[in-house]
Parts: sequence; C-alpha cells; structure tokens
Amino acid sequence: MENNNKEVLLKVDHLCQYFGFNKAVDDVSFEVHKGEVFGLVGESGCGKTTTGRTIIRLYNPTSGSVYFKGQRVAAGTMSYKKAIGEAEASIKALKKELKGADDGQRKDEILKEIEAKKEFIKEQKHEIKSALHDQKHCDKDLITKIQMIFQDPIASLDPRMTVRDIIAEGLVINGMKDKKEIDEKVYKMLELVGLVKEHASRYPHEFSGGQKQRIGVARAVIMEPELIIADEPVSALDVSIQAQVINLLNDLREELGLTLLFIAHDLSVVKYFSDRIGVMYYGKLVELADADELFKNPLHPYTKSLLSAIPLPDPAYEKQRQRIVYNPLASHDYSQEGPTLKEIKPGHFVYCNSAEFEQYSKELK
Amino acid sequence: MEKKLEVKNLRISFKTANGKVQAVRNINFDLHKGETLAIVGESGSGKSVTSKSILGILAGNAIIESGEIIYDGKDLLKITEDDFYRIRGDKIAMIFQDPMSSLNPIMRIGKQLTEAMILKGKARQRASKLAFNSTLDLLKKRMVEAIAEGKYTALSGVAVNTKTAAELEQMCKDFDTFEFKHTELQRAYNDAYQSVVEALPLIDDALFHIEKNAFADSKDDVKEIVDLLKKVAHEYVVSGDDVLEIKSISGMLVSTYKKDDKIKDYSNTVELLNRAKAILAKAEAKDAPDFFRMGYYLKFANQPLPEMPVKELNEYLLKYLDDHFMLSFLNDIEVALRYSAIACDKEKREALEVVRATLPVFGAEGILDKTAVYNAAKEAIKEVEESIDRLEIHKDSIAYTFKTSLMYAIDNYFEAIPKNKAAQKAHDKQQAKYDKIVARGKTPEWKVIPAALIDLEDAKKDIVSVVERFIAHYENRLARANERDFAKETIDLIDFFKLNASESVYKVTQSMAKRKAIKLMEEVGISEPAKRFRQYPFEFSGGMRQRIVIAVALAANPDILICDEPTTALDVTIQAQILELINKIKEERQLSIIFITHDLGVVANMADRIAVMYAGKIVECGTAEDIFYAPAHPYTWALLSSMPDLDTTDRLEAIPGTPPNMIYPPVGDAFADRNKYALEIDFEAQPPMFKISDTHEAATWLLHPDAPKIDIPKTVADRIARMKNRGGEQ
Repeated sequence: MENNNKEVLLKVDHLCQYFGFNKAVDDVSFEVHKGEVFGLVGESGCGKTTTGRTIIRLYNPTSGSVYFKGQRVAAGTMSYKKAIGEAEASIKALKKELKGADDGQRKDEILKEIEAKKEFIKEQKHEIKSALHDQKHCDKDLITKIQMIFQDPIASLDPRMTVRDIIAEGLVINGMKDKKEIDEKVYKMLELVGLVKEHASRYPHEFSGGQKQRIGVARAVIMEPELIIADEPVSALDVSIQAQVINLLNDLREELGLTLLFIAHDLSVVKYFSDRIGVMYYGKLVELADADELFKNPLHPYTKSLLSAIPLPDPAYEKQRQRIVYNPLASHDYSQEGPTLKEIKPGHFVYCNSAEFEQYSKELK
Repeated sequence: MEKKLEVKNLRISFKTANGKVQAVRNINFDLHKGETLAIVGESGSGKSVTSKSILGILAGNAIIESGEIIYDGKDLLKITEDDFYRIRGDKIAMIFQDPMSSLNPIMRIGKQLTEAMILKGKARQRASKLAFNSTLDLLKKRMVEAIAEGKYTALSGVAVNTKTAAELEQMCKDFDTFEFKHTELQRAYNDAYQSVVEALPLIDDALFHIEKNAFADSKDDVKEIVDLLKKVAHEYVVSGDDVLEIKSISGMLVSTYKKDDKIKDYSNTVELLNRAKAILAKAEAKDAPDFFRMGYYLKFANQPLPEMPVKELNEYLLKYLDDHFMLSFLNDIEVALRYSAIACDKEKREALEVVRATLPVFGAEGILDKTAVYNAAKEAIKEVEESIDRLEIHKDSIAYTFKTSLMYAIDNYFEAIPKNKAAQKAHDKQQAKYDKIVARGKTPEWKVIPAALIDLEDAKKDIVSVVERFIAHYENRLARANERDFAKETIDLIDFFKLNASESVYKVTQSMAKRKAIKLMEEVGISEPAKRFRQYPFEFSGGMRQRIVIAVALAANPDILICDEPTTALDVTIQAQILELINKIKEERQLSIIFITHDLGVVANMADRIAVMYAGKIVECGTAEDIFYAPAHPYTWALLSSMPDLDTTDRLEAIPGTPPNMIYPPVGDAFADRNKYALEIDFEAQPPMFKISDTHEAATWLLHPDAPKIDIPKTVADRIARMKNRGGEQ
C-alpha cells in the first residue's frame, strides 16, 4: 500500500513522560502522515503504550508537545523550566564575575549577556504559559478525532453495559441525545465491523475474543476519528482471530481513510500492516524508517536484535537461527559524544552519535 | 526412546447448566524422554484441559469419562491426592498462562521461589531414603533366597559357591555404608567446584563493568565474588598455597565495596580480580577424583590415601575397589536379578491364566453380575500384584496400573447404572414440563437438555480392553523373557542406588535455596536478582512476572514440564530469550516438555513433534518438519495461512466463523462448517486418522484414497517454497 501523502496529521515533538525518576518516554519525536499506518514496536516497558496514551491525553506530558492537524493538543513544561533554571544559574555566575571584573569593556559585555539571559527567561516563561494554556484549553472536538483501541478486549469493555451502550457512550458524552439516531449509528457500526444488529442488546461476556475486539473497534470508529491509536489490538487474540481483526482494520482503513498509530510487539504483524515503523528502546526512539527499509537495512543494534528474535514458521530456519543480543553498554561508547536522532538516508532515522553515524553510513553502502 | 508419559483414549467433559460440554474427545499421544511435544490449537480446542488433566487440576465440574494418563507406572487419572502431591510440581511442573494469577501477591518473590525448594527438598530426601533402603532390602532378600534354594551356583556361573547368606548380607551393609561416605565426599567437592564455576563469569562481568565505568554494578558483583571465594577451598579444587592467596585477595576485595564511594581508582581491584581469576581457572581445569571409589577406600582400607596424581589415583582406587568388593558384589546383584526374574516369570504365567479366566465374566452379555465381577477382579489383581518384579528399575507401567485401571473401569460401570437412572428421570421431568407448556400453545424460551447418559456397553468395553491389553502385554513379555540384558540392569541398579543415596543426603538449606533462586532468576534474565529477590509481584512487569513463574517451575527440577502458552503475553525479544532458556534447560536436564500454544511461529523453534487440536480432537500429528513443510489437514492449512510472516503482502486468509458448540458436537468432522474444502462425507461421519508416514498422521477425509485431489492453498504452498529456497541458500 503506497502512501505518497505527506500531509502531517500528527506531530510528536520532543515528547517526554516521566513517572518520578522513571523516564518512560524520553525525548521522542516523530510524525504520522495522513492515511498511513505508523507502527511503534519495542519490548514491554519501553514506553510505546505510554507514548500512545500521552498523545490521547490520558497522561499530561512532562515535556514536549503533540500537534494534531497543526494544533497543539498536549504540551509539557519541563524543558522550559529546565532552560530557565540553567539561565538563572548562568546569570548568577555572570554576576559573580561582574564583581571581580575591573575592565570596563568586559563589564559591558557581561551586562549585555545578563540582559539577554533575562530576555530568554521571559520568553521561556511565556512558553510555559502558552503550553499550559494549550494543555488546558485544547479543542475538545479536535481531540475526539483521535480514538484508541485497547489491548485487552475483555478488560476494556464494561461487563455491565450492553454492546449498544458501550459503542454509543462516546456519542452520548459528546452531547448526542436523539436515541433513534444513536441506534442507527450503532447498527451501522456493528455492520461495518462484521457483527449484526441483534448483537446490540447483548452483554460483552456473550462474545468470543475476536468479537469483543470488534466491539472495541466499533466503539473507536463511531466517533468518526481521523487517527486511531491501536494499542496491541491483536496480541491477546488467537492466530485465526488475529487475521480477522487485522483484515477488519485494513478494510476500515481503506473505506474510511483512517490513519493508524499501531502499537505492537509482534513484528510479523507490524511488518505486514505498517507503512513506517518506529523502534523504541527504554523510552527512546532508536530507529525510524519505512517498513521495508527497516527490515532490509536495520542499523541500530537494538533493531537488529529485535529482528533476529522474530519466530518464523520454518523449523529448519529456526533451528539455526542466531539471536543477536543487545547490550547497550557493550554496543555504544557515548562517553565522548551523546547520541541524537540523525537522518541517515531520506526517511531513515537512527539514534546515534557522529562516530556511529559514519559507521552506519558505511554499512548502508 | 523411553516413554515418559502416555495419554490413552482420554475423554473429558464439563458439566454446565446448559448440558455437557465435550472438551476433549478421545485423545492419544506419547511423550518421550527429552522431547518437546507441541499442542497447537485455538482457544477452546481442549489443549489446556488436556494439560491440566495431566497435573490433576481440572475444574470441579470436569468429568473424566474414560482414558489413562500413565506416568512412572501410575495412572495419573486414578491415583489419590496424596500420591499426586508427590508428583505435582516435583516431577511434573507447569508454567501457566497468566503470570499474575499464579503468583501470590502478598508474598515476596524470593520466598515463593525458595518455599517449594525447601519443602520438596525434605520430601525428596525422605522418598529417596525410602527407595534406597527398600530396594536394598529387597535385593538382600533375593540374594539370600537364591542361596537358600541352592540356585546360586547355577545362576552366577561360579563353579563352587563359597559364599554364605551372612556374607551377602554383610556386603549389602558395606555397600550402604560406603555409598553414603561417597555422597558426603562428593557433596563437599561439588560445593567448592560449583563456587569456582559460578565465580569465573562473575569476575568477567565485574571486569567488564569496571572497564565501562559502571561501578555500581561492579560493586554488587564483587560482593558476590567474595561470598563465593569463601567456599572454594577444597583438597581437589583450590588447595595448598592458593587457599591463602585467595583468602588475602578476598580480604582486600572486601575493602572495595565496604569502604566509601570515593574510591576512583579501580586498577587495584582489577589486578586482584585478575589474580583470583587465574587461580580459579587453574582450579576449574583440575581433574576430579572418583569419590565413589575413594569412599570405599577411606571406609574400609584403614590406611591413608596414597600420594599420587589424580588420574593414577583413580586407577589405583578402581583396582582396589574391584578387587576387594565391586566385582563380586556386581555378580551377586546379577544373581539376585536373575533369580527374581525367574521367580516372577513363573508368577506371571500363573497370573496370566487367572486373568484370562476373568474375560468371560467381564465380557458377558447383558448387565454384568456385580459380585461375580468384583470377585474375579479381586483375584486377578492379587495374582498380578504378586507377579510384578519389583527389582526392575524400569517399571512395567501396564502391570503397575492394572489394579487402578481395572477397578476404575469396573466402578465406572456399576456407578453408571444408578446415575443413568437419575439422569433419565431428570430429563423426563423436564421434557414433561416442556410438553406441558407447548400443549398450552406457548413456546418456552429454554431448550430441553439432553440426558447425560453413560453408555453401559461402552463402559463394559473399557473393562474388557483393560484386561485384553494386559494379557497381550504379559504374553509379549513372557515371549521375550530371554532377551533381558542382566549385566546392563545391574549397572542401572547401581546407578539407581547412587542417585538415591546422593539425593537422600542432599539437604536444601535456606541459604542454598536462596543462592539457587538467585541463580535461577539470573538465568531467566532478571537483572539485579539479589535486589529483586526481596520484592513483591506487583513490583514486576508482566514479562518479568512470567520469568519468575518459569523460575518457580524450574526450581523443583521436574521430569516433565508443561508450558501453557508461556510466552503469549511477552514481546519478541523476551519470548526468544525464554524459549532459548527452556530449550537449554531441556538439553541439560533431558526434560520432556509439553508446549501448548496457538502461535505456530513459536512452535517451529521449540517442537520436535506437533499435535494440532481442534474441537477436542487431535486432527493432525507429526514432526515439526511434517507439519510445516507438508501439512495435510485443512485446519492446519487455515492456521498457517492466517498468520502473516515477514514476506506476506496479500490479504490474510482468516478462518471464517467460530469453533462449534461442544454441547452438541457435530456428527461429522467438527471443522467441516468452517472448511472450504469440506466434502459431503465430512458432514456425515468423523474421519479416522490416516497415516501419511511413520511419523505423520491426519484425520481428514481428503486423505482417503477415493477423495478428490486437492492442493495445498496457494499462500501456504508459496511459503513452503520460500522456506525451502531459503534452506537451500544456507
């Protein structure tokens, strides 16, 4: 499925989400284009779910911003606060220097510098204010255009609500009152996801796992979203049912022109389903590329180890498979220069420092 | 290969409010030693039920309708809870699907890991001691009997018998004494040697961390190394001047982690570690003496060990042991075994006659006579029990289970009569009520539940089949009585004694259990195990919890490991780690594994053989190569084509519909409704198992000679071609 549309629907900019000392998401930036499926993979605890949840504002970000259709929908303040702290410290140091200095010219320079720093602090304070404002007053209608499908279809459906209530809940919350209209919409949704009208009056426990996940999908799609964040939508399902749900998502995507942020750890499914893939490791985005490119030319050692761990239905291959073990201490030397996300090839980003950049570039050739 | 577990004709159903759900329908499989059998199927196909029945943990509403699960001469479906207590977790362990519900939330991880080790350690000690003593007593008895009946010369091949019964008894006693000396010596050596083996990688680790400036980690390592270094002193491991050297090194190392954090210069530590490493490496390479031989020498030679290199010492001790004791003792054991075999063969012939005589009683037409049946069974069982050769180390499972199997089948039959009556009555009552409502012109919302009747003819057939199988087995054994290799059995018996002796003195202490637990945690990939040891389950992530569960299962060192979707909740890297771990442990311990999953990709890595289950039946069974390269059943095709792999770009072929309701199992093939290749006969009759090759069989009418030729679906065929190509490249 080629996707040449480069219109940016979602932009995640230096997003950080800390829980106390735990840096669940640390300085993650990526863009999701309209109409594409963006896969996010990584081991459990690497922050991929937290990223998804922060985007949909289930958490307030610690730092960084999330832009949806060009509008900032979530923003954190920590980076600004940190910058202010640094600036204040340097002002202090400069003032100390000022006392000791006797050269007039030098004094002027220092005064100018202090002035600039003060200006900078003022700017940062303004940024904080605007971030808090955006965070608080984000457009409610806009944010309902992002919907989420949860991992566990059993736990995410309220056992005391009928399927109709579950699917219609979002509409009701958003002020739709006409019962007939709601019913009609619910029936349409049920049909869309491959269930029938009669199912509407039943309770979740009467459905099989695959059907429950379909209800989860219907609940997300009824809000007519533009972006769906699918958080491991198939990992709790049987293989045969997985195929049903993946096919369903694929159909919906074509029919409704949906954009998906697909979070999963099953790489075969991600490869099959996604246009572009981001690989996360311990809160960092370590590699980002087109799906085919990533699987053809994995550069970051963690990506390599991840790809080497995919089980395939081929006993002969499996018996001689060599798994690559990733040990961050052994693979990187960041004592001289810290790593950043660098574009090594159009559309292919790797988290590395310049020495590694050289090495990876060589590997690519 | 040795069969570890045999599941025969297993049928399990569940009683529910809506009727009887047939979860498992006539399953047969064997599990060999050191083999992984994968059971693959959708949820609800009965794979978990099968595994749970092996462990005796079925839900309360389960009914075991027929079948046997034979392990170690016992039928697991029929033994008491007390017996099961010794097997569950100790011999057969299970890794459950949901890690949260299989850990105790208010107990520290460490305690959960060590608790079983300590409890089971005590139980095992007792059991081993009992096995050792009772077998030795039996052996002694048989030896004395052989002499008393004057058969010793004939059986041993010795021209003139000079041995008396008292001498033989003394020999057994001597064996007992020095065997325990052997285990003591061995254990002291193992402790020291094990510490060396554990310390070496830790030193490498510490050096690596220091090199990479991760001092906090290296400190923990150093602490552990110092602990281990305390235990390495042993005559045959680290000895002489090295002991002093190691002592001084560990003394100096202590300062690196006890003193303050201000030390910046680690060059001294590195040097110390390197010195320790050199000594330990030397110790690791040393030859170990044979303590079995040494035990005898120390106990009975009454003189100190001669000074010589380990290799020569071993030779010397062997000669000493053989000359003074072993050769003649081995001969005596062989005599006892031969005598026992001859005596038992005679008993077996008698038992066979008695059992044959019962066949007409059990197989009689019409309703069986209760007293006659029970009397016949009692007599047959008595004879069979007497005919079992208890000196055989490889237990004759069919003879051992004869009693339980027969009594169970008979009880089943006679209990069924009143049960059927009650069920029929309840059904009639409900039917009457239903008819009454219909007669009033209404349609009730509920359906009449069909009566859960037990077929008496089937129950009778079960009894007869138990007896017939036994007869066939004994006939076979008697016919091959001359083929027994007594020399090999003698060696096996000695090994059995050695094993039990070492286990009966192997006491699991708290600190040992802790060390083992920490090692296990490290093995399953948990970082900082010493710290994690003291945490509660809620402090772990899902993947981590699952690793703990695996560690708990492995702690008891089981014979058979049942893995019920152990990696379904984990991500690929950890999944790969855990699968590798399970594979490694399987190789090391010759473990037999039953691996239950719905993910075929995982199975390819793990399984030696695969059984595909659908609606309570095994529909296809074969080696991993058979299933992946030449699948034969449409359900296997559907499973394979519904999962994407890295080269898939086409639309996935999902299996339409859902599995059938097993309260009303379909008459024909259960998969027919969802099968696009279904033939007409699929809806009418259940297909039997068709043999494709020696290892491969499948239950589908497509394999019938008259069936139309249908090719494997394109997606699957393409993938197989791709896989074969890739195989060619490598």
